[in-house]
Amino acid sequence: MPVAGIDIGSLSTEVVILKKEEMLAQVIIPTGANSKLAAEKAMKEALEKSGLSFNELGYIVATGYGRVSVPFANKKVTEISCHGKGAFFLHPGVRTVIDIGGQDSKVIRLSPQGKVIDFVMNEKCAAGTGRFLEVMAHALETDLEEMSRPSAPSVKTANISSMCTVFAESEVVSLVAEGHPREEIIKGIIYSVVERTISLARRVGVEEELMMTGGVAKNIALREALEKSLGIKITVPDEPQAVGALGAALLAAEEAVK
Amino acid sequence: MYDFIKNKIIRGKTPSMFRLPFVYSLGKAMVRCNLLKFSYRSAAMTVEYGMEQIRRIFKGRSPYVWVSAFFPTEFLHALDIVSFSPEVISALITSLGFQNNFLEEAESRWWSRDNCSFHRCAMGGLISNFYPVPAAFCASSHLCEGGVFLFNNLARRYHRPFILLDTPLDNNDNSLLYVTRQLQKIITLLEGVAGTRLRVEKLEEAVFNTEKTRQAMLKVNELRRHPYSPLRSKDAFAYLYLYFTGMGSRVVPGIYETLAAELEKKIKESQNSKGGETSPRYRLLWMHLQPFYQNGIMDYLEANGAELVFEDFSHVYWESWDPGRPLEYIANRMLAHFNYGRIERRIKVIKELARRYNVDGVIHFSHWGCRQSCGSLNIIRNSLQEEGLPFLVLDGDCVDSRNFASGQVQTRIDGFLEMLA
Repeated sequence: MPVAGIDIGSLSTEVVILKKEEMLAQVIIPTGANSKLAAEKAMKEALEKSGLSFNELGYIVATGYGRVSVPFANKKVTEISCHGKGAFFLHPGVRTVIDIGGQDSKVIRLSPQGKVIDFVMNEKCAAGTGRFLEVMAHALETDLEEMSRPSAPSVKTANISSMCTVFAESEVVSLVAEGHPREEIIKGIIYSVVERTISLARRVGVEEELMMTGGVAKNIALREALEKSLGIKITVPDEPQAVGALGAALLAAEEAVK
Repeated sequence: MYDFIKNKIIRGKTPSMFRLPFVYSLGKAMVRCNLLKFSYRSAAMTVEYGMEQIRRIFKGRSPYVWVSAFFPTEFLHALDIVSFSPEVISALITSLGFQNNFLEEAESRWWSRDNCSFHRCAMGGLISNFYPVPAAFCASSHLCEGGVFLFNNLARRYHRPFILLDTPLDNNDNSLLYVTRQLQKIITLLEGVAGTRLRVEKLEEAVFNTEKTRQAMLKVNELRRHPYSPLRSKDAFAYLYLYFTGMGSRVVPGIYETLAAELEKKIKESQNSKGGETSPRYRLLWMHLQPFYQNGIMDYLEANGAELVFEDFSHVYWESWDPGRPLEYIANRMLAHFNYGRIERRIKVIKELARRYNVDGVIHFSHWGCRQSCGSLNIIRNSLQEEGLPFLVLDGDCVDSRNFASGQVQTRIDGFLEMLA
């Protein structure tokens, strides 16, 4: 029986449809202002891709901050459990997951059986998340692709000291005005995210194998800087943004047979 | 009735009517006539007791002093001085929804938002002349340093005595002697405030009342271990006022004894009825305080099968002592607090409570201003995890709702409950 997982994040919404652990469809769309509409749209696209009708889905699990706005979900589960589930499914050796999404970053510890044994989340503000990188890219009049490009070791690291996204943006604008090269500022931004992520990770402890999920995992420069700082190789799945939706679909499959 | 007061009378404003003693006389009468509903008779008695204290403050005929959390109140009861706990009153004001007026008042006078919101709220109430100026400010140095600085500041501003009890970290014979000697001096200072001498038999009576309270609290805590005990942290926080200002009062032992009798009765009724309360899916221990504005945390936990069966604040931490040696009894109570001193002391108590109440996990609410409570969370977390006890930290603020992000708190709670499953 096909099942679906839907992850409604602050920036993007993902749907994964599974049938006996085979992925029939995977969709990623921007969430926009209305998470309920985004959920409906993403589900519609995923059903079209899979060639299924809505009634053929045996069970649906919703996750992400917008999980409460999915009227058609049978169950709502946090992104903590879903990212843990999805990561463990992709790599059963994973013991630590760093998930950096649009407005949340979290570090999840897994047992050898794949059960969540501890987690920690960022504090109230969006510093060190995907939204932070987006705002900084906008301030630099560039895109996330350039932000993702690893810089040469010879490039200096500009100092971004502010913890607040709004103030950090002003800091970036000042650095541009002072004539700092763009790659130095980007490196500084990346390192400020890395510092915050590492302090979060150290709270729960990092055990190998470490997987990175969420949209920010696509940022190669950040991933490499994290690997360097932690001294650990980081595994990134083919589509890190959809790991939460995959975990939700796997939980849906478990629920469907109950 | 509570919602009526909050929504129809207060509506976010600071109601000047709450400065009228008559309002509290009316409130007491309403409690007595059951016009205000409570789950427990003892909770109604607590409210009645609190209203009487506040009525006396606004009446202005009795000397009244501000006491920081943990300052020994036995002397005050023995001297008939009304004690006012700014922290507890800030919590009450927050639950009625007009704390922001006082917070903003304090902030507009350069009182930083980095300071504890209990204290900012209290200060805002005093400088906006909502509270009358007290006769003295009495603080104890243990656990809450912010209170010491606030009270010292206010004492200088209003030219009133600042009475400080310096409580050492170690609980030993030297500390006991040091605190006892200070208590003798404090008595002299408080006699000056009261304008009368403290009679030894009055002090002995006050300490005897504390001992009776201790015994009644122990009985309540023992009953709460029962699987059919209905008293949860949400309701237990209603007795916080007594914990901070009631030690030494002749009324308070009776309130706890009533609570014990009520619990005993409710447990028996549940046992006898076929559909008595069943055990929750998860039994949890709550550490530290709770947010006092509308937040829904405890209701949400309950709705998801997790019951807060005990909270560390209700733990009776001091041993029995000869009430015939009142100063030593009080000094011992000050030095025995489990949250003070080495962290091992606190961890030992948390583990003991976790075992006694057979809990599946522990939640710590980290109030922004309580540094002493939040500073050692990593050590506590590691110790609890060694025992196989999941531990959740909720960062927040008990008074300033601007520091509360409900969505993030809900995700943490949901994640924690999924981890317990």
